[in-house]
Amino acid sequence: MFFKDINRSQEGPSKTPRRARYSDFSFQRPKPEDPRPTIRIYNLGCRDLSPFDFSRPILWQRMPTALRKVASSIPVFLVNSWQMDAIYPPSRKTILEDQTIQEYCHKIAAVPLEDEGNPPEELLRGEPFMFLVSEGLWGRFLLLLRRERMFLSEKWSKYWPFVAMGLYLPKPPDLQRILERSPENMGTGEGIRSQEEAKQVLQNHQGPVIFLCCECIHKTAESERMDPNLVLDMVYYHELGHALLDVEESLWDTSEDPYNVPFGRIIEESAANWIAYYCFTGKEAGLVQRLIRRQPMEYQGYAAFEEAPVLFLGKERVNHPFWNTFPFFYGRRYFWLYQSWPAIWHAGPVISLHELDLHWAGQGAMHITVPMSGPQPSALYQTIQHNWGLWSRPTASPEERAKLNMLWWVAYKELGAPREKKGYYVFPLSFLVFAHYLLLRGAFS
Amino acid sequence: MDSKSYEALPATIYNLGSCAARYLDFTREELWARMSTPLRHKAVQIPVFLVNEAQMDILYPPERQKVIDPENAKDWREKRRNPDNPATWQDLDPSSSQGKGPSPSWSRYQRIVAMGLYVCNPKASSEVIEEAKCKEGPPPTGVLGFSKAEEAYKHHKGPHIYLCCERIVSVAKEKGIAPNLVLDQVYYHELGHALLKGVRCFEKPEDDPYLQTWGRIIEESAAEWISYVHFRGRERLLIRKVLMKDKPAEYRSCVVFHRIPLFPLPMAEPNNWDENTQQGIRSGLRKFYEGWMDQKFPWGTPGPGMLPLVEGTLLKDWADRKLFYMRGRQGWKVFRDSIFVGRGRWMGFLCLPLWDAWVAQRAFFLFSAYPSRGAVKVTTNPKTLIRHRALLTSFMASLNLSAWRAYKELGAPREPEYVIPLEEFAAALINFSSQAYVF
Repeated sequence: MFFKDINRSQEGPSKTPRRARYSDFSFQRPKPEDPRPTIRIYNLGCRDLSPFDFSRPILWQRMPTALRKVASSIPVFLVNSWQMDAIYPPSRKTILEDQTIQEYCHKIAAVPLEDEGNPPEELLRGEPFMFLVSEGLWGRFLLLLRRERMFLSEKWSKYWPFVAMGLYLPKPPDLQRILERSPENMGTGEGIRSQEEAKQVLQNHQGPVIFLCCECIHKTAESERMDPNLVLDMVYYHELGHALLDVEESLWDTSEDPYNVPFGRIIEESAANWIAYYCFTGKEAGLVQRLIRRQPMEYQGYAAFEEAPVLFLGKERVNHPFWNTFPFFYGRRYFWLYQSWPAIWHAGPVISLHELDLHWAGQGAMHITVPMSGPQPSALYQTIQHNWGLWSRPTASPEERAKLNMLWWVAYKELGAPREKKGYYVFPLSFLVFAHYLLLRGAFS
Repeated sequence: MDSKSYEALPATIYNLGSCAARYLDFTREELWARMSTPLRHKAVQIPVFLVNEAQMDILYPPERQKVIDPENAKDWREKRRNPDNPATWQDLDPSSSQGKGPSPSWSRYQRIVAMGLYVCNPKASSEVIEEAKCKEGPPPTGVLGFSKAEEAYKHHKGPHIYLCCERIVSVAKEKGIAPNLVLDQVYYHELGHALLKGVRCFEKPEDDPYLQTWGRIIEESAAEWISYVHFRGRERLLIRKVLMKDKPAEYRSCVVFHRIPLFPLPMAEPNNWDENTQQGIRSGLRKFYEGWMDQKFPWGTPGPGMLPLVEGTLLKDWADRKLFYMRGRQGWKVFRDSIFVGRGRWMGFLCLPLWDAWVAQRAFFLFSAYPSRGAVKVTTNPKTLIRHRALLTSFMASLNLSAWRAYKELGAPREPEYVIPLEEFAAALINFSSQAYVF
């Protein structure tokens, strides 16, 4: 994993996996004349498909451009809850423990303004940190990097109807485990292919797959008095969102998977929920928000995901004329920047990414994921530099803001999601602060 | 596919005993479509209880039954300028020192103010349940009936929203507008209070800045502004010209909420200002706001607040035309020097914290819509200008809203470094809205 990106480029262009581009995340609202994506749906074990209608045009008409592309390349398999339980990875049958997270947020809020402290030196230098400090503001933030104590499997039974409705897998699972749990008589519906076809596809397919648990979706819709088709659509878009955010060399269920640490789970699930929520408008959007409210706290940051950028500021208070003179966050903590976000957003002509980058280089601090300060600025850097204008202008739409955040997140995963210095890439503290912001605005407001 | 209708609404709405609830429709698409994401995020969290007039009067806390008569607000600005005997908050709001009792003019405004109520820490009372009417009839579509309402009213922890359907319907009838429009406005207003709440409720009632006159002015105008901006076009005009016209002064001041900047809090290290400094800061702030709204800056420039209060007359307006003349960097230099050099120096010092906001605003106004950086072009396209206007106003308002919420999140400290800028901001809201010609 070390120097992953550099090794890749030495292997030659033909072996370099495809990198995410800004244009991959195009969230333009579809037009009526846009062609229908070919969605392949297979029934692997659902008895009753009568509440669902997969032939509704609205199912694909709501999808923005980016999701349509993904939807036509990924097959969907309908399973029952028993099958879903078998394929759901045990490490993911956990949720963030709200008690611990709440305590941790209170502790951050309790750190007095004067006692801001600095990020630990070894983290800024990019050295591996053996002993995580737990004191001070930054110590508290680093708790979001901890694996243990934050995840809870006891409450899984309470939340699984709202979480295990769908599953995205980068590779097809063991077919036998699914087939031995399939019922005798299975439901049929318009446009849904049979189990025989599903078997053939799963045997030959190598790419990502999506599983939807129809029983679970139906049960949740009944308990919430909602249209099952609406819940189905929401879950499907959410899983497509995970597919969109995955990278070619997927880290899924590896030791590097950022999903298994709190900050990664918060960002990933909030982003996927943003994608799902974005597809809906009006009353439907409200119903989707209501459904999201029943999910665990890592899913709640969807609305905040489009509000603020992942700001790659390495220090709490950058010694830059802009940051020090701008009144609305003078003397405030770094994460308070997010509270005053509209002010930053409107300050376009004053600040530029390049300027900040030069400033950081002068400070000797390199803590930016993408090789901004490397020998050659990467294509990603150029893209973000080019599109930085979108950030800086209030004319930038929420989807433009969200898609830049997604680009940062995917770029970080493409680098192998490092949590310590690897080559040029140092763990970005900003992801911790951003995840904290998502928690505050989503789960605690 | 069965054609079963699914009754779920984004919010949980209970009928706690209102007969007029049947005239209101919560299933309308526009009720939910107008809401912004954060507002809907609040709507799905907070249960709504539909109540009748008697129930609302029981629920409405007596210490909150206070209003400012717009008649008092009219000449308060002039009286406050009197150097010998300046008017106080008492003159504006005579009831402010009467403790828990309602204002003298409360009975006049009760019908229009107590249409909705947001309660952060509700305590269930049996009187409310006893006053319930129309328990038996079927509730409107999507609304839960009395038995569930009673259960939720007694046991649901966390904030509640109460809407008085009887008053909503009767006010709408009197004004000749659709009851659903009034409902939406009142509901958004209460959700606005929820957005402004911050992280936690005030444990001790005396900590709540709402009980101060200035706190009530800021809170109510902010919530009213939030509800107001969710409407467009004809609906917005109806709300402003018909509904808001008869409201108390603190509600009416929402029309200038997005035009007056609230200074960043605290203005200085807390507990460092002596009496003299406090007086100086007060008069400095007063002068600043006067200048912000009137053409009283020493350098002869009209304040940004002078952007017209009447919508739709963009190009005829002086402030806009001024921007057309200020082309290029040279114009900026002249403008900047006018603040920091010569007669304007002391004022420049005073508004130093606002300088960046000012520059950012103006720069955004001039540069934002154009892809080419550095080249200054000015558009005459009225559509673009309207877009700029909307963005500019939401900018100022969002800063004010976040500053107010952050102040409450800090526990509403009462040091003069916090309170003086807030008091002056509230006074400016009242002063300038009482002279606005928008109603």
